[in-house]
Amino acid sequence: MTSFRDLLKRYFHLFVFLLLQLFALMLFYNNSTYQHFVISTAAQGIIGPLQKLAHNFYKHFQYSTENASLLQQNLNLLKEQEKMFFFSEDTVYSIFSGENKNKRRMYDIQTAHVVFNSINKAHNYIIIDKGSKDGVTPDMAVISPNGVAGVVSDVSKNFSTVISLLNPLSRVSAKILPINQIGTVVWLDSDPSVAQVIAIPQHLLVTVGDSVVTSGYSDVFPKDILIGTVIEKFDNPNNTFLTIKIRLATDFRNLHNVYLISNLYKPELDSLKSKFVNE
Amino acid sequence: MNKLIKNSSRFIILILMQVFVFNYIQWFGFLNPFVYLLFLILLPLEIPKPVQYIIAFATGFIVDAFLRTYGIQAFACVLLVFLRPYVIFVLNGFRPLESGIKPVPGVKEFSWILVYTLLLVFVHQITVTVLEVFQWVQWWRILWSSVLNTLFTTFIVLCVEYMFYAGKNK
Repeated sequence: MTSFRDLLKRYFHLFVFLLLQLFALMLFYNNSTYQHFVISTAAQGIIGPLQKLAHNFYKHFQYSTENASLLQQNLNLLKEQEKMFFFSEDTVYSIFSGENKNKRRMYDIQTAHVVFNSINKAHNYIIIDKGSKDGVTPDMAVISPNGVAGVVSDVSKNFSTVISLLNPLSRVSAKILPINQIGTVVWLDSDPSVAQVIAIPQHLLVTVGDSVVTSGYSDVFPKDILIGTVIEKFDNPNNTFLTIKIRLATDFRNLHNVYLISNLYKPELDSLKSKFVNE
Repeated sequence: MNKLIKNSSRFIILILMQVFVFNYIQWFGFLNPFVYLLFLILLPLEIPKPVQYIIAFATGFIVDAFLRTYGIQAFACVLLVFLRPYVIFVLNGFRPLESGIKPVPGVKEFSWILVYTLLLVFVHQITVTVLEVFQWVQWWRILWSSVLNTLFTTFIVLCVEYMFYAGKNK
């Protein structure tokens, strides 16, 4: 009996060791069955909130990559919009079916970040971080996620200057939507959220709330990009045109990401235009 | 009493570090250091063996719960603590254990600590990897993953160990 007790004493630790190992293996083997479910449910009650806390902490480090991928996704969606193409319907079938339109890409688009932006000067400019090495050329259109932002004027190797819409030099060919009347958007007030549409005759019916979009005639902007909405209109006593004030769609105070649109047929159009008389 | 407080605070801090910091290190998809092993490596040898095993099991189980790999870490931790006296026995040149032996810097020289840590971490690591992968076809992957993980874990464990012990026992 004493010898048995001695034996027990001597090998008790081995017994505990084997028992615990067996228990651990059992846990491991029962990984996908009821026991696992019970244990993980019980443990989840305690660990879930803790891990949620950790996740809430760690997720903040992923915003920049997530932001970049969302920007890329937006870019891809913008590229596939109808206004990025022009359609030539030259077969009888395609005219009547409406399908199978022969579409050709008219505009290409890329993203850029704003590195400098002024809104309170008499002449406001934006500088973006894409330059000639990214294929930027003067007269490319710049739009924000909400609407028109400006036109590229000067290009260096890594940066480009954009004439903001908030600049008396900028003139964007626009149309007022329900009546389809062509006018020009200019910035005459010093308010960074208000611009004017000029050259709309007085007899036309413009109502407050009408949308003003790009006309698509200027070969810089694709058609139907929002510029702003009418907030005020009155007859101008000095001439026969309406004075129309619009609220700009782009928030120039918070401009971070912009899209650059290039017209792929611009050289061709320019060579045609050069033959205009008295342009 | 002082020893109890020291060991339990080491236990809590290392486990918190493991589950909230080191479990999120997943370099190249397989490099994941188990720094909490430092607690088991430094566990006083005077504690009765069964109690050591239960402590190891509890430690492994908590880490398992956070990794959702029930049983794997617990199994490997108990094995580590079980093999610890034998590793020391071999490293001391097959001499029976002295009673007051402490596997800490200052008492033992760096090379002894290095081999001791390497061996124990490797035992733990290979057990964990075998149980995780559980396919003998992938033995090559098990091997190099264990070796690299062992080196990585040992490096961090020794850094932590020497950070807190270097100044003390000189």
